[in-house]
Amino acid sequence: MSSSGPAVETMGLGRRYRRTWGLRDCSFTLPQGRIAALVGPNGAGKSTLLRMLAGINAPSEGMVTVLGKSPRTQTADALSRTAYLDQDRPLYKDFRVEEMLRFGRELNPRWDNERARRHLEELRISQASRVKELSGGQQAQVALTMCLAKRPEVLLLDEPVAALDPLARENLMQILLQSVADDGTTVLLSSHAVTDLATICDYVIILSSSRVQFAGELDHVLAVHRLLVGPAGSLSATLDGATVISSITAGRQSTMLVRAEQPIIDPSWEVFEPTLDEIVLAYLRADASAAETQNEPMSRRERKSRNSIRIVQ
Amino acid sequence: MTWVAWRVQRSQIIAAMGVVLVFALWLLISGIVTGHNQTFKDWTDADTYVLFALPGVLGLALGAPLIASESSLGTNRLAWTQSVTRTRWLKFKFLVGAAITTAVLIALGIFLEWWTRAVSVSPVYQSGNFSPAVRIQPIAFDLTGIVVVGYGLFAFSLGVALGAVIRRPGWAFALGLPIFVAARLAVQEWLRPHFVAPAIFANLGGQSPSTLALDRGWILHDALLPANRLSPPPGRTWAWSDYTKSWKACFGKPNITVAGQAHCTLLSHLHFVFVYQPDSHYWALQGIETAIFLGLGLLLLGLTVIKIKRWRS
Repeated sequence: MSSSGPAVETMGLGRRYRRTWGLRDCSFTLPQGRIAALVGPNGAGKSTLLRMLAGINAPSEGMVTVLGKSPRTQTADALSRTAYLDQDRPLYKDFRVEEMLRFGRELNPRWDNERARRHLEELRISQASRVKELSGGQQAQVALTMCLAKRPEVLLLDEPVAALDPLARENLMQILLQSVADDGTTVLLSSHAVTDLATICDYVIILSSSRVQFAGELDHVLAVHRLLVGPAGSLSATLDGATVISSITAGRQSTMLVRAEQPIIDPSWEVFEPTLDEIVLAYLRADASAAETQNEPMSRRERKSRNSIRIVQ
Repeated sequence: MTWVAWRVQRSQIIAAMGVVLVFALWLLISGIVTGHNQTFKDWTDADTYVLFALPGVLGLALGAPLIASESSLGTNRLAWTQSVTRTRWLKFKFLVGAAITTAVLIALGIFLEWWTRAVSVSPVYQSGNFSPAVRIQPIAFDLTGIVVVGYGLFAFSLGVALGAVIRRPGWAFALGLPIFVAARLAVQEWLRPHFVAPAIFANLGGQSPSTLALDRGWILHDALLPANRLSPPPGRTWAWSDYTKSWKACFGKPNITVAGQAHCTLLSHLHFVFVYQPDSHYWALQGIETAIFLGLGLLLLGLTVIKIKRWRS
């Protein structure tokens, strides 16, 4: 059925809007059967990337494949292997829930109506109610149900937990884990809620400033990043082979998050293992400080951000 | 897929039907009353403008939201990520919409056929500048036969194509209506007279014959010409100047009686010349006009397919 290649592969992928780049120079490989978290600040290009993977938009440059095929080939078979949850959760608002399910049944050969029905029943969403009468969270659940009932090989979810309460989040995580275990589904989901993701994902893609800052196994992410605490004023020049992602100075103490392939042996720093939260936060903070220099001319700003956040690929 | 296409368009179809029914009711009243009451002639004159636009309004009302309403609500992103290709999705939506449009237009056509007959019995129209009784003349030609279906389907395709470009159903409709009127008038004024070579009627002297004598035809040109110039010069039809020169000879004199005019033209060997489309050309003109508008509709459909495939959102 599915090939043994990667679920998603991108190479120099970019998409330009009229003047700005929504995403640029994006390269990563996502193996099958993973739950990957796509994290980054607002406007980092998460939705842009997911829309290209779903085949809705064509890339402006670079290459992208999903299960070995370009998402733009758009054959019925290729479409049936991928499910996509848009960040706006578009649904036909005047449909009843049962009509949304019929929509799914008629448009998808592998539609699992029993799965959809069971899922909605667990959530106590009546099939007779109209979509527009449901709460935002319930609508999000219906949209999610549509994705799951498609029984895809690759599940692309844009902010799936955004409108959900903590219990529903927990429930969704269980469903995704189950789906990966049962069907070998590959999940790529974007989120701000890193804490939730850390418990289930095993692959991380960090996007900021429209670029991929990091993409790799969760274990690898945790292994190569270190949190250093030392006296203020100690220069990073002493840290050979380490890239400073962000640093905060409070009083006489400096805290830095660095990326280093080798162990750091420097007596002036205390070395800690950061959590995924801390790593993601460091990248977001670096992005925010880059954004503060926005009044500078474009070329200079770009050069600066390239230097301060080294592209890790 | 047929059910999906129908269900998504259902509310628009019902709204469009409502508008058509209101118009039909109005025509029904004016059609019945005009036959018996002179004061309603002004109403029927107003009706002809309404009828000119009606197939366009109906087609655009059903066509403009076909893609534009999905795009403005984001549901195209839902539909295009199911297991159905965009072209197949458009094919079904277009066919269902076009089938509904055709059904309504056929019903409307039958009704208008009746209406023109009902109105034409009215004595007030025997002296009017158009007579609905002469089916090959503009207005009656546009309301009878099969052209109504061609106009409506063209408007439908126009609405679909504009909706795909503008992505706002209201704007697509608003822009589509003047384009529809312009296309209709352009074909009527510049193309329709030349679909089939017109007949020529020449009558020596005397009074000009009535249109009924011209085989209930559609007069394109008339002129008063000497016998040696009965055929138009090669490559052109009669010019207004040909007519006026000869006209002055017999009709420019003050206080000349009708009998005197007839006598004058007879003595000067002047002929009344009519270039016209006889009633026998009715179905040929109807067929060609319908084919032109259906062809334009297909062209617009082709452009829409290209637009959908290269969609940028």
